[in-house]
Amino acid sequence: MAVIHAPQTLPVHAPAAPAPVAPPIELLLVEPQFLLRRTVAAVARDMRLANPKEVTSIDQADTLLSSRAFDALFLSLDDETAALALMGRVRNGDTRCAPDIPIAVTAAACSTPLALRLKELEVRRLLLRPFKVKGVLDAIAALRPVPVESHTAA
Amino acid sequence: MIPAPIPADDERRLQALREILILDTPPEERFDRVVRFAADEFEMPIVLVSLVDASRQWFKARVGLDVCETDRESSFCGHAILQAEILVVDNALEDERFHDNPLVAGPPGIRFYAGAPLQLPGGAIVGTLCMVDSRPRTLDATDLAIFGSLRDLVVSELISQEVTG
Repeated sequence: MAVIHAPQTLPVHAPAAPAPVAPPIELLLVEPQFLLRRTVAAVARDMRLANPKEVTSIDQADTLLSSRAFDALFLSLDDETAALALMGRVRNGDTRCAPDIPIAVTAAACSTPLALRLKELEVRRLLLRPFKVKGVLDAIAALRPVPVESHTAA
Repeated sequence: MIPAPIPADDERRLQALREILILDTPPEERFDRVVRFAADEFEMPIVLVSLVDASRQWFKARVGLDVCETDRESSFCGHAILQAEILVVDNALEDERFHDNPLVAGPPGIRFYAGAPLQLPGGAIVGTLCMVDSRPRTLDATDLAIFGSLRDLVVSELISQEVTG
């Protein structure tokens, strides 16, 4: 699995939580590949990481984001231009979501201009193909809010 | 070797298997893509959709194996269909059921086996989605959840086949 951590100004990622105590997050999962999308959604639900809403395209995601809010967004950059535009609308507060919701993306490759744009959009994690379902689940776990205990433990 | 036991309800199980009209049918992409996906996800050399017939296991989909069937008696899947939970054998050499099994002692030299039972809505377990490696392996809880989810997709396809005939 190729995982590129987002640029250095972004928060350090929490490791995948094997036994999360926080309630599952409401996640919008945008992934055109059926097996990957369905498997990720089923396991994330089973592990109580997230309640994923599955869509196959940016157009469907756009429609959904205009009607309801999500806690986090996980989307494929297969349709890169449309996906970047959608993330821009989220960050501008043009959807029902909070403009600062955590976002993770998957892509076949990442050029320097794309990396810079993802940094501007405050994307928390980028997974490059080929990746595994386990890697996606780790990334979803990293979208969850940090437990309050970890702030007070010190 | 402990031969694959024949469950008491095997006739009912075989009836359910025959009713889905899938034995000896040609390969289908909807099953092939699941075994390819599992092989990639778990880096397994052999992944099969195995259907346990009266005296054989027949493979509806396969990665990494040339034969389309083997005998039931020496099959790991014949053991896996005895329970609803996933059967995991980390190292066949250390398992009394399999240590001298011909599939362990000879080709393909099985060491690791994981078989997720394919249970139809009526309760019959008709086969498995299974993964095999020639080296000892383990699966963690996340692996098992992913594997179980892929198994559920295979069952969905079997049911779909059953409905559409």
